[in-house]
Amino acid sequence: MNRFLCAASLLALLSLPAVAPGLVPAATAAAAEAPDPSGVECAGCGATSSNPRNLRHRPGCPYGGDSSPRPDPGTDRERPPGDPAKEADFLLSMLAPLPLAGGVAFGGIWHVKRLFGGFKGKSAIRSWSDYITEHYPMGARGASGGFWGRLGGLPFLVLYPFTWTLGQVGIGVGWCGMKTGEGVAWLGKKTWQGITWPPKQVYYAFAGRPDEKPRPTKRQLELADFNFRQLRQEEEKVLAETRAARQAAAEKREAFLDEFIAGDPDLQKTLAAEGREAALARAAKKLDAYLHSYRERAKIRGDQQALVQEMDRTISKADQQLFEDGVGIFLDQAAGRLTKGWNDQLDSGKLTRAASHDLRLKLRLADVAQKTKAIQDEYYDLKDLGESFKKAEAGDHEARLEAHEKTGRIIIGWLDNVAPAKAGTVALTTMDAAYAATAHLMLGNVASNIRGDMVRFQTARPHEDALAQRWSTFQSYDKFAANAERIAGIRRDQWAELEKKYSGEAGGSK
Amino acid sequence: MNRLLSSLLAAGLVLTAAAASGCGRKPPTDAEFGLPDTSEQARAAREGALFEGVEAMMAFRREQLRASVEKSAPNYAPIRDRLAKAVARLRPAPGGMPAPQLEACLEPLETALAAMDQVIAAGKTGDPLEAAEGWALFDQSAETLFMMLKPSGVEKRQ
Repeated sequence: MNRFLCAASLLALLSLPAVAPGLVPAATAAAAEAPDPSGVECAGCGATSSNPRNLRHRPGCPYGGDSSPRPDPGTDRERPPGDPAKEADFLLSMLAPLPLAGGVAFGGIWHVKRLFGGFKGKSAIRSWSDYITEHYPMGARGASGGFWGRLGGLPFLVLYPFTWTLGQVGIGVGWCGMKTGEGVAWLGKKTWQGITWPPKQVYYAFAGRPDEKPRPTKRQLELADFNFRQLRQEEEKVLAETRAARQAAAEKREAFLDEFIAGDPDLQKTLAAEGREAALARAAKKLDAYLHSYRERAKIRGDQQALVQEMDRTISKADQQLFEDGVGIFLDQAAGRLTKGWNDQLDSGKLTRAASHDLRLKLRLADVAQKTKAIQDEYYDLKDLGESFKKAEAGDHEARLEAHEKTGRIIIGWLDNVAPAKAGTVALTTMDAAYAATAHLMLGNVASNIRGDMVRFQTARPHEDALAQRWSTFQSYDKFAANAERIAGIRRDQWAELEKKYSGEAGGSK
Repeated sequence: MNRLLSSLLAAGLVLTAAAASGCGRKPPTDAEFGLPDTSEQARAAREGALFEGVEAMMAFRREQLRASVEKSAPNYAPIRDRLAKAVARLRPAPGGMPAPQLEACLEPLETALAAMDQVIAAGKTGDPLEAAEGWALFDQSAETLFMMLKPSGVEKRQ
């Protein structure tokens, strides 16, 4: 912009020679046009000149001792000759286009300078007027040329408010653009550096961080607390059941060991000599050996063994178990002999844990049997089965096999009875149907295990192998029960912890 | 001018308070929070899944009995899949809270599934003892499940 100013100023200055030289030759030409006679001589000082107007008197001459020419009052009354400067001023004032052009040039320069902050402390009109008149080329000679100069510069004065406004707006827009660019660059830099920037933090304070879990309401916390309280209470019941089951399994295992010791002369001697604990330990060791032996032989020979009569005693015991646990329940129900006796036994408190556990299972099964109302339909089949069992108990091996066969088919029938399509026919809810189905499943398990015994006894060493398999089953029960109790304990603690957590949060939240 | 400045200051304070209080944060929905669905439909679905699990267990035992009576090879694979699906339906959604009562039934169903796997694996290797242990685990799972269930109208004797 300064360059433009310089150029404008230079242009204005260049215009001066275009004006002044135009004037000087005009003056000299006017003088040159004067006649050149033989000359005049001053009577006072003797100075001579070819042109009387240009006569220069000597100092001390009474007709004019100064060096400056003086107009001759006698030649022209309105424009006295002898003052060329005044002549030039007059001519200049008469040449209107020249000050007009100067006004245009200096008006333009003033406009630009004013826009760029010039003329501080002066109003726009005053500075415009002063600048044009001060820079008028002949101003120093008294020729103001003010009217034409101001006229030439007037458009720039009129234009000034508009250009000033536009300039202010432009400066504002430019400033905003610059600041926006700086802001974008700053945000880009911060983002590039991975620094969270304030607007994001303000948003996070308002709406939370994206990875922040939303805070639940008090109602939700209370519901969670209630949910885990129920879970904990349920799990405490489960824990009690699993504890009872583990104790029952341990008692059954010990009872089996006692039975084994009672039937083994060597272990009897140990019992007499070293006590029960030593006998139990030795019995367990012996059964482990049977189990290991059976496992190894089973791997080698598979199940190519003949049925040996030695299994009778074990089979009879298993038959009796099935009769009592499964079929006996239905027969008792059908005959109207309800489970009062079992309840009385349970209430007496004289039963072992294992017996109590079994009796509770039987009572629940009896309840299911009554609820499913399947007894009447199966009564005659069961009665027939019962007859077969009686024959089997009397030693009829064929009858025993027949009873097993019938048992298998009847159990399949029971399982079919509680299929979903049948559930509606006996007016059961889903949970009741699930409960009844589980009860029947348990009966099926009992029957199937006895049938499994028939296969197990087809071994080379039936007695030892039977003992090994029973020992394996007892150990499995024991292991399972202990594991179930452990898991129930862990879960109970977990639910209790979550209950405490949500209870505290619900209490602390508003 | 003063009034304008006061208004701007008050608006700024209100906005700051709104931001600081976090009033833009939405609480999670019940499902997002993980609460179990307590609607009748969901309850019926869970009970249905439980019944399907029990039914699969029965079918497992029935298949063993059928194979034993008919002296044929048992086919446990589809039954095992049924139980696995029932267990998956009964499990709470990932990140969700378990529902009471049926949550207790889930564990015996899972152990029954493990028992099934053991029986199936033993059947493939021909190890009768391994199979017997699997069946023992299965029986115990059934017994535990039986004790966990609380049918309506049948009082549980403690």
